[in-house]
Amino acid sequence: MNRYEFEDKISDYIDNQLSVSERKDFEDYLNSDNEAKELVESVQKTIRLLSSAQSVKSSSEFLPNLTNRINSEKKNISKRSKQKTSNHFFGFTPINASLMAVLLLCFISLSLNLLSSEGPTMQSNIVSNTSSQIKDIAPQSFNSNTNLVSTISDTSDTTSIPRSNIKLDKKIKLVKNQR
Amino acid sequence: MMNQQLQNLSTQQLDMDNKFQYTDEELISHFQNGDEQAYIALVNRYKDKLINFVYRLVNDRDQAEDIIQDTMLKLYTHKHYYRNIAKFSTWIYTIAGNFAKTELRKKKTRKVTNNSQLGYEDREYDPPSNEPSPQKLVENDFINSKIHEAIDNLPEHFRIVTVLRDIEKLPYEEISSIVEIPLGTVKSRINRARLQLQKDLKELI
Repeated sequence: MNRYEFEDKISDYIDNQLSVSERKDFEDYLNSDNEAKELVESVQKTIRLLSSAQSVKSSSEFLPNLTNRINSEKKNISKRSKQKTSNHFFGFTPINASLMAVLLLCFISLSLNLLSSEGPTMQSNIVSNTSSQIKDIAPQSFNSNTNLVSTISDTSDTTSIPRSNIKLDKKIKLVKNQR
Repeated sequence: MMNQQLQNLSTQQLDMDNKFQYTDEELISHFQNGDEQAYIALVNRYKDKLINFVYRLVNDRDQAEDIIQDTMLKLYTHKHYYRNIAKFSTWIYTIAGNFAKTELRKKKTRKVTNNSQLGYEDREYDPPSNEPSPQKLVENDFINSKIHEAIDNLPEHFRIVTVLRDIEKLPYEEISSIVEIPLGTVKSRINRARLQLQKDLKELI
């Protein structure tokens, strides 16, 4: 064992942390070196001195102050929980509640719009249906030219004679005449 | 209710300590289940030990007391954070040590005048309870101031382990858990700190 190894093991020796063989080596070194022996004794005395150092104790105000702090902490906790509950709307936090309200308003306005847009179209459908029914019944009684022109120009009206047929008839007549 | 309980602390402490002889772990378990007397017993059991420990680190008695108040308040508010896998003493010393370290860091940044820079006359110590004579009182004060100065001169990482070992008398394994460093490092730091203290306190030995 050299000096460095010896110094590294002083505390382990004092605190009984060495194995039997290590302890024997350490003690052999101590017996061979008076300075080493003095150092170990000095360290042991230092430890005893540290142990004898006057300990600091808590003041008489410690517990009352701690009580006050605990009570104020309790109040804060109850305040926080009260705030939490008072801030809730129907069990929702303010942010969630406002989001829900916006969504609800959107839904209501959308459904109202849908209803209002469906109303007039339905009415117009009813009107157009009735007018077409009247037309179906009435064409035979209509004799005026204007009505005839309007029926010809209306391509959607399947009952009227198509223009292309008239043209074709004219073309056929022309071919016949040429022959 | 809490006020009344804390006002009768000394008698309750006797009840908790003498009648039932609860371990720390049993007391914290009782406290976790809502028994505030168990909390009071724990505070009484640890307040002085922890103040003594923190005082050696921060070198200010009032600050040490404030830190232990914070520690005890944390024990009250975070009681469920303790898990019965470690010793209660390890847990509470770790909390106090962490608060002390934070305070030391703040002190460093503030660059407040260190107590080690003050003369012996500037320091305040509690008068020892059993002093036979004024001469002995002065002698004790001198020894205490020298010990305090020597501890204060240690680097922070040496100081904490030395205080835990040689003043608080905690086992190496527990110190290793508190400061969260390997056992070998704890032993080596304690050894080196003791050699430095031996040099600094040579005149008193």
